[in-house]
Amino acid sequence: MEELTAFANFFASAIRLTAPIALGTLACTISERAGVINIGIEGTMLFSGFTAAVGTWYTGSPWVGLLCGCAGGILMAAILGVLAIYCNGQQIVIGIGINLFGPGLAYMLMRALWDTTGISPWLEGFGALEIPIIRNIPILNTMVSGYPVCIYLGILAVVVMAYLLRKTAWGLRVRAVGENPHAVATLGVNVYRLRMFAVVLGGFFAGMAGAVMCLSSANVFVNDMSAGSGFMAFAANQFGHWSPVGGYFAALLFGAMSAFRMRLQSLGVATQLTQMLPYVATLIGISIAGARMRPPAANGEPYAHPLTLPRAHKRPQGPNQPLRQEKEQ
Amino acid sequence: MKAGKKMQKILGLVLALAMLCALNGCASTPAAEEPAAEDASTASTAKIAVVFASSGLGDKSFNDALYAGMEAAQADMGIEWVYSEPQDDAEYEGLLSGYADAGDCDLIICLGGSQSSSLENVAPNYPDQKFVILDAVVEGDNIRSYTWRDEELGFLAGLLGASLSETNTLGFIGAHDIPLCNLGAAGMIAGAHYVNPDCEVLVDYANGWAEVNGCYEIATSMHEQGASLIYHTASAGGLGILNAGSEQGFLTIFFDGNLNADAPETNIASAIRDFPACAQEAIQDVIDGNFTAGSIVKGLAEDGLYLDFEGSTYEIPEDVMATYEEAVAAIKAGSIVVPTTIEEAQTWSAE
Amino acid sequence: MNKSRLRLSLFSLALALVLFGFTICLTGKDPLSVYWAILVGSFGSLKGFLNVLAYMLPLIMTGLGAAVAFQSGVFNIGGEGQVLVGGLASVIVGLLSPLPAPWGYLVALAAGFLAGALWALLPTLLAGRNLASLSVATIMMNSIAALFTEYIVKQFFQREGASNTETVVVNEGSILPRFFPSTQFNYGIFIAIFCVVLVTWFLYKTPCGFSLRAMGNNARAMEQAGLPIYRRTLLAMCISGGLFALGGSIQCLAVYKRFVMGFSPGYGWDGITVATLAANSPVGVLLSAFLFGMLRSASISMSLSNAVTTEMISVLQGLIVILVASPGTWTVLDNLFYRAKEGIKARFIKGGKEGAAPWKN
Repeated sequence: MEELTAFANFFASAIRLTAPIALGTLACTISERAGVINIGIEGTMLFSGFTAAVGTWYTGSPWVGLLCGCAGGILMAAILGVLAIYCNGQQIVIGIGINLFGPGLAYMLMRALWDTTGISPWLEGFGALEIPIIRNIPILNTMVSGYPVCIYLGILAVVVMAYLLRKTAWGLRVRAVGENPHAVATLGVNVYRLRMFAVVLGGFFAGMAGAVMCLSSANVFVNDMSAGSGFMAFAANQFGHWSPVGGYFAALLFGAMSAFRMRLQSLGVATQLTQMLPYVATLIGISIAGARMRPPAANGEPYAHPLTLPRAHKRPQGPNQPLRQEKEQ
Repeated sequence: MKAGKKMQKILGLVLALAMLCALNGCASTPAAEEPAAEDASTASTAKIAVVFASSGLGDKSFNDALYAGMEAAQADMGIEWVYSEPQDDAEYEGLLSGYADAGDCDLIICLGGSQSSSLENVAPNYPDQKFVILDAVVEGDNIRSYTWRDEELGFLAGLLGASLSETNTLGFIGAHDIPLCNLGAAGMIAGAHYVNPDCEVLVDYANGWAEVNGCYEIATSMHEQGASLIYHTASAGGLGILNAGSEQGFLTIFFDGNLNADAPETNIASAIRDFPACAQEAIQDVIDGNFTAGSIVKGLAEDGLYLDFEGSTYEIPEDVMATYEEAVAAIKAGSIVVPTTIEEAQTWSAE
Repeated sequence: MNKSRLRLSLFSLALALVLFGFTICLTGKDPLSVYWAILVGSFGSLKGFLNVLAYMLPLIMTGLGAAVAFQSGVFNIGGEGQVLVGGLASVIVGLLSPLPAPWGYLVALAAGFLAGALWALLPTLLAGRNLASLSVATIMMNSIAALFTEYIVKQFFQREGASNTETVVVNEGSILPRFFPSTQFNYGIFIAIFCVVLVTWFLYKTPCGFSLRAMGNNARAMEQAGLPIYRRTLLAMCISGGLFALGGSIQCLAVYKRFVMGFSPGYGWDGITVATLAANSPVGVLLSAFLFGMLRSASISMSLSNAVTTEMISVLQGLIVILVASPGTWTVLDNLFYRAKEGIKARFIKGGKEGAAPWKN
């Protein structure tokens, strides 16, 4: 019984630690399924964490905060989307730019708003949601009930997205666009709009991840609080073979490893070594599963928008020399 | 060859531009900044520069404490002060030498142990500039170092925890596994053993200065393992511990800054290191002209440390308070010397 | 870096500055004063200018590392970890080797290069032939490097009485000398310039460098031509990792003279942005590292004068990277402008090309 309780506690801790990473992973998955790599999850999470904090602070309601967080995520994803899809940008580099830009902007606004770059005021967090019947069953109550609402929402989002991607026409198109956009375009589908929607939807979930990070147990926004979970999400997506459910379990592996190492205090192993656990596990996992890993074929490859082609009557030799023509004008 | 020539042209252009800017800047900046500096010196007030730690203002902790202290000093002593908030550790050296170059600061105060190596590089170049570093020891003829015997705070936390505990288990969370954070852990283990030799202290690290969620989970896991009171030196991460305590009903002691009012029922006290007093002491010495270099260690005996119970509604039993007062007196008198590393603390016993 | 690419970079830079101006207006400050502060901070005094050069140094090295990787089509985003490991290796050698001045730090730097190369090699070997997982593997190595270096220092080299995790100062001969003790600008500049020349020569003048660039251009074609990609990937990762690591080594040996936990404020990531702005050209890296060094130096002088807040600098950096990474923006803007013009013509001035959609090709 004691072991069971300990396991239930460990499980609950893992689920809580997983929540923001899993949502970030979902964001990566949707975006990459459509062929756009989003490595800017880290910056997006910090920015949306900030917007979520602002929303909650103004209204006192975490729900408004959650919406504001999603909006912040959408803003960052829109920057990536417009530049990567409509302007043929290099996706990974834009993502890295977002990792600089997002937090910078957040801290800048934070200073304008609260005159600090450290910590936001205390926020109203999501309370724990006790599920009626389960709350009375001994072990299950810790494992299933009692998480903040936003964590349930995150799991729901994973399930819904898994269904949408796998079972609907829209999902089929998204997946196809990540594999071969040219083929999809010949069927009369607007590749750009589809990709843009997927990226923005990803941003929505990344924003949710930021909000969950702030409002589930911390109830405060702290400078640099994501501490690399955006990168973990990026890794978990690949580890989970670009599927929402797989991604969730990959993120859960991180969460479980972290929760596990937090229970090793009395062992006396050097803390730096136990803290390496999640990273080393991923590395080994990738080296084992690596051979079977197959990313979407068109992942990271831009599908040139007509707007990025120079106009016909002033197109000189090469395809990519727009500035020379401006001079001729 | 052709490309090379083009490159040359471009380089030339860039260099010319740079020169132009340099000339322009040289001509105009000193003029723009000089008057302010002169005003300061004619008013014959001391000018103090503060370089905060990179965790930044608004940390509800030591940066904010020093800020408040400097504001108070400005009101009381009539000093003038400027400050900067570095974004990361690589900026310290530039900021320190920047203030030293300006030459109009009577004293430069560096906050935080992470500035020590930068100060070590800068200070010898400006022998006439006085520096104060808080929370680290740096050798130098123009540097005064203030450090705190953080282990004494840990001792008191461990003592209170062990006295109040029914589970014989306490928890300690540090930001990183570094000597500075471990002072608290060492003290806590010693303090717990002082009251109850069987009391176990779980020690873990958040691996970050802003790990609020991580600290929340570590605290939760420690609580599951029976820890009845959790103390920390985890900077902003402590907020997560505070939250976890008030949600799950275990006791906490916050470190660096009084947040008792934020969780009055579970946060029984806040451990305070009196940064402002030290800064003001140094400033007063500069004003009076008797600034001396060297290392000053503050502890309970010097009133540089104390546990602040104000704002907490938790009732500590009389007998526990009696033990506490006794220990404080003993530490002040020097009859209890608290160990500074975890290894020493494991085998430590009070005489 | 060819001419049109240079112009693209410059135009993107200008656009970034304009957008940055709007962002500053958002917080109710005067953008012109910020620009002025940046200029004054970097060129206003000799000290400021030397600071620019000092901050430029590690960025040149990490920029070169990223440039080599990107030219070979290998996404090495583990630069941050390689920087840390390189710094640590140099410091360890610096602590142990009794060699006199030039040899002491040269050997230490070489050790840094080697360590970085090995640290980059490890994830490449683990990821195996599946290059898609290489980026994830290198990211994981970043986190592992941070913990690993902390562990090694804590276990074996911890300085007594230090409050942070740091080593003692390296031996006299292993300290990379500074030009003036009061600025961080140091002999590393010679190493940096030497590396720029060497990398340029390697990439553009040797068959091996050519084959790396060819791989970057079209790996699939190379594979089909029967040239092994995997070995070249390993080589590219090694060189790039070593260069990244040198950035950390220079910073440790010259600036801190020891290893301090958290000495790198993200040089590895900055290297990627530097390389992007330079369009992956080694000479361009010099220029763009100068620009980023300028921003860092400006951030410090701004912080000193309390004129504006420093977190703005990372906003500007981010904007520059984002815009430079999307060179298509200019054609799109041009096309949109043309479309709008034609639209207005068609609407108000009869006789415009009616119904034509000239932007469609």
